[in-house]
Amino acid sequence: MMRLIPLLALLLLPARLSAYPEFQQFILTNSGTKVDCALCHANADGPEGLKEGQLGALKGEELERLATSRRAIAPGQKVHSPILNPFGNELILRLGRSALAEGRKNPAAMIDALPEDLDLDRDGIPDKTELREGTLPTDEESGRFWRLFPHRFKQNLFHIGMGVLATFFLLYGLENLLKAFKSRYRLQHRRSSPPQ
Amino acid sequence: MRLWTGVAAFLRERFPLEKMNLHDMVEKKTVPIHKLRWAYFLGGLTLLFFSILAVTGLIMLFYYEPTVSGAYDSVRYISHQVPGGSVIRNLHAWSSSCMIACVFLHLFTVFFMKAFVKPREITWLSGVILLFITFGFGFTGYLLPWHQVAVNATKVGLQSIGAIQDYLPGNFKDLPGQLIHVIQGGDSVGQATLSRFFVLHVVVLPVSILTLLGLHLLQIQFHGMSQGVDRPTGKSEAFFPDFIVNDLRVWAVFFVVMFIIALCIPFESLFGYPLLAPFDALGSTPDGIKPEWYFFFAYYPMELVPFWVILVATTVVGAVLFFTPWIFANTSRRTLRFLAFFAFLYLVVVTVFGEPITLLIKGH
Amino acid sequence: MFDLFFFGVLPYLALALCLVVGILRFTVKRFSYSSLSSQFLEHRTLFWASLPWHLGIFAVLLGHFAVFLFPGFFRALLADHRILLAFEATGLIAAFISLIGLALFTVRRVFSGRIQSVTTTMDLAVLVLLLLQVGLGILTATLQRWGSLWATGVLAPYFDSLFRLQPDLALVKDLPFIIKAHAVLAFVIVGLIPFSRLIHMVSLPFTYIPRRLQIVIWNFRRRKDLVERAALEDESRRQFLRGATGVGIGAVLIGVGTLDKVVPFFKGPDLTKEEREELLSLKVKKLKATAEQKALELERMQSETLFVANLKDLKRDSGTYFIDYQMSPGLAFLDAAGLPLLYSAKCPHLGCTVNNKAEGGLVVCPCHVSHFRVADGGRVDGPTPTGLRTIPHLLKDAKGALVTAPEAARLGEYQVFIAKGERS
Repeated sequence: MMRLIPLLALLLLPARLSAYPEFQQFILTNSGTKVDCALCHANADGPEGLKEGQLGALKGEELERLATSRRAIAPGQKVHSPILNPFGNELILRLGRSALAEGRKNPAAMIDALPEDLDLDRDGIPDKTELREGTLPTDEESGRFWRLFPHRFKQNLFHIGMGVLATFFLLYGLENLLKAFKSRYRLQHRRSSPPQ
Repeated sequence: MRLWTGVAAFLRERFPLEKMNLHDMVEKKTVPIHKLRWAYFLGGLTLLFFSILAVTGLIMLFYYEPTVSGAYDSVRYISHQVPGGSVIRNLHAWSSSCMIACVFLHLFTVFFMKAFVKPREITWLSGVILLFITFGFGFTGYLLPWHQVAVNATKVGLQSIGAIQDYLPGNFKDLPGQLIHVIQGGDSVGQATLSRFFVLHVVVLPVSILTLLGLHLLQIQFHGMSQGVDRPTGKSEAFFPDFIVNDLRVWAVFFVVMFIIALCIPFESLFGYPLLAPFDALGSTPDGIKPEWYFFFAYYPMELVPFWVILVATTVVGAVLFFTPWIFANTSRRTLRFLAFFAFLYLVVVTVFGEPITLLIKGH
Repeated sequence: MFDLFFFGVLPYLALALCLVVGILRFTVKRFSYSSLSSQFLEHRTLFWASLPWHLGIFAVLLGHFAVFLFPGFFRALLADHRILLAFEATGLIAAFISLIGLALFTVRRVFSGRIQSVTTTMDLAVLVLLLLQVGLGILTATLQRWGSLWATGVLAPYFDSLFRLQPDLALVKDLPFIIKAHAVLAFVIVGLIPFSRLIHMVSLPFTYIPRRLQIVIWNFRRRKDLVERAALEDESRRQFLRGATGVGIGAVLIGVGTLDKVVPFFKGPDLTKEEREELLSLKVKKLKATAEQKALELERMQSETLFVANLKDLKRDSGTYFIDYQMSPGLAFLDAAGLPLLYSAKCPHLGCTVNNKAEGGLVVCPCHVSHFRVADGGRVDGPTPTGLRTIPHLLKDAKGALVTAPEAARLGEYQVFIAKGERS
C-alpha cells in the first residue's frame, strides 16, 4: 500500500518543464492527427507524473541529466534528458530550450526552422514533416504511407527486382511443366489407342 | 425412413464418388469463358493470400511470445530487429486484409452468378462457414500484438455479445455474460484471453479452415464450374492446364504487387501511433479505437441504431447466407445481381464513409 | 619460363590454329562443319545429355564472355555482394548442369555399342578435355572464390594485353594453380576446335537453338503416326525442360534472395551490447509490471479495503485511475465539498475505459463518444445505456481509523479506500 504513495516532493522542483499542448493543438489543426506526448517525451502522458519516464519517477543520476538538459537554453548542446525521447533531445540540440519555449507561440515557424536533412529514424521523411503531420520521428514505420512508399521503394529496389525476376521465371517454369504434363497425357492417350 | 433415404440421395448426388478419378475431376473439367470470367479467379486468389498467411504466420511463430508481458515486445522485436522480420509481418498484415477483400468479392460474384444452386449447395455452405472462420482469424489475430487498439477493440467486440442479454428472457440473462467469460477465460481481457486467442489463431482455426477448404475444393472438382451467366457463350477453356496457367499468372501478378506493398508500406503506418502503444490496463483508452476495416459494416451501425436492430439484422443476414441455395433457388440472375449490388454498395459505403456518416448523424 | 609458353605463346598458337585450320576446313570440306549426329543410333540418353550440356555450357560461356568484354561494368555490378552471390550461384549451377550432360555423353560414348562404332579418338579426347575443364571451372568457383572477381580483376586486363599483342605476364604470375590450369586448358580447347566436332559451334546462324529438334527416323509404313508421336514426345520434353529451367532459375533466384534473409531471420539479429541491455531491461520492466498486476489481484482477494488515493491528490477536473475489486479501472474525482467521488471507469456501453480529463464537468468514453457528468456519473449523451456506476468510498485518517464524519479542516490528511463487495 505504501509503495503507491507518491514521491510528491520531486514534482515541486523549481523551473518546471511542462509538456507543450500548443504543439499537439497545432498538429491536430494542421493534419487532423491527434497525438500524445510520446512524440517528444519519454512517457505518453507527458513529463508530469510518477510513471516511467516522468518527473516523479526520476532517480539520482537521472535528475542530474534533467538538470543539465534544463540548462541547455541555447542550441548546440547535446543533452540526454530522462523525460524526453531521442527526438525531444534532438530538438533541444537543434533549437535550444528558449526557442522551444518561444515556439509555443508560433509552432509553424519553429518547425520551419528545423533543418531539412534532420531525419532521426531515416525513413526518408524529414522530421519537420513528421512533426507537422503528427507521425513519430523516432519510428521508421511511422509516417504517411505516400511519403514512406517512394523512399522504401528505392531502398528495396534490389529485392523488388529480384522478386519480380524470380516470380517470372517460376511462373514460366510452372506453366511449361503443366503443359508438359498435358502433352505427356496426350501421348499416353495416343499410345493406348491404335494408330489409324 | 423416408427422411433417411432422402438424406442419402441428397448426399449421393453431392458426392458422386464414381467421379472421383483424375479423368473426371481434372482432365474433363472446363471453365466457361464469358464477360464474368474474372470471377472464377477470386477463389484461387483467396487461396493465394491464405497460403502467404500460413507461411508468414508460421515464420513469425518462431519469435512471437503469447504472454501479456512479452507479446508487444516480441512483435516489436520481429518488425524492428529481426532481419527481414518487418517484411514478413507486413506481408501477413496486408495479406490478411486482401484475403478478406477477396472473400467478400468471391461471395458476391458467386451469389449473383447463381453458382450455389443444386448440386452446389454444399460448396456454398462450406464457403459460408469458411467466411466465418476467416472473420475468426481476423478477430483473434487482431489481439495478438497486444497494443492499445488490439486489446480495446477486442474488449469492445466481446462486450457487444454481452449486450444481447437485454433481449433474453429471465433465465437466460446470464448466458451472454457466461459466454464472454468462457471466451475471455476471466473477468476481463487478460493473459487467459491472449492464450485462448493464440491457440485459436494458430491451431484450431487453421485446422478447421484446411478441413473445410478440402471439402470446398472437392465439391468444386466434383461438380465443375457453374456457367454463371444466363446465355453461355459456349466457349470454354480446359481446366488443366489452361485455366490453371491463367490462375498462376494472376497469382504471380498479385504476389508481386503484394510483395512490393509489404516492402514499401508498413501496415501500421495506416494507424496513428498512440494507438499502437502497448496496452496499459490502468491507462485510458486512446481515441480512435476501431476494429479492423472488415468489421466496419457491423461496427458503425452499432453506434447509430438500437442494438435490437443489429441483432435482428445479423440473425436475418446469417440465416439468409446459410439458406441462400434454397431461398434463391428460383430467383433470376438479374434479381440476384440487383440484390448483390445493393449489399455491395452498403458494404463499400459503410466501410469507406462509415466514420464521417456516423459523425454527421450524431452531430459532433 | 612455363608462364612464357603457356600464357605468352600458347594463346596465339591456339588462336592461329583455330582460325587457319578452321578456314581451311571450311573451304575444303564444308559439310563437315557439324557435329556428326548420332541421334539416329541412340536417342534416349542423348536427349538427357545434350540439352543439359548445351544449356549449361551456353550459360557458363555467356557469363565468361560478358565478364571479359565488360570488366568495368561487372566490377561495379559485382561490388554488391548479393549480386555477386546470385551471379556465382547461377554460374555454378549451370556448370553442374553441363557436367551432368557431359557425364551422360561420356557414359553413352563408352558403353553404347552402336555409338562405339562412330566414336573417334578425337571425340573421346574432346570429352575428356571438356570434363577436365568443367571440373576445373567448378573447383575455381568453389575453392578460389570469387571466380568472377578474378576474371574482372586479373584475367580481363590480361586478355586485353593479349589482344594488344603485348602479353602482360606479370598479371598472371601469381594466379592460383587451378585458375592457371583452367585458362591453359581453355587455350588448348580453342586450338582443338577445328580438329574436332567442336567446330559445330561456329556454324552460324544460331537458329537451331530455338527451333525444334531435328529428328531422324526409319522410313516405313507407320511413319506418319511415328512422326506425330515423336513430335509430341519432343514437345513435351521441351516443355519439361523449359519448365525445369524456369523453375530452376526461379528457385535459384528465390534461394539466393531469401536465403540471404531467411538464415539471418532464424539466426536472429546481431545486436550491440546496448541494444541487448535495452531489450532485457524492457523485458524486466514488463515482467515487473505483470508481477505488480498479479500482486494487485492478490491484494484484492485478501484485503477487506483497498487504497485509492490520498484525498489531497484528487482533483475536480482530472480523475485519478485506480483498480477496483473486479480488476477493472475506476476513476476518483473530488466533489464540490472536497469529498471523493468514485466511479467505475468502465463504460457501461461496451467496456472501454473512460477518459480521466473532465471538460465542462463531463468525461467522455473515447470509443463511441458517450459523455458522463462528473458530478454524479450520469449519462449525458452517446450510445451508453446508463451512467457510470458509482463506487462507495471509505475515508481513513492518518492512523488508519475509519472516519465516519469527515471534518473539513482535516480533509488533507484523509486517505480514500473502497470496501470489498461494494458494488452499487
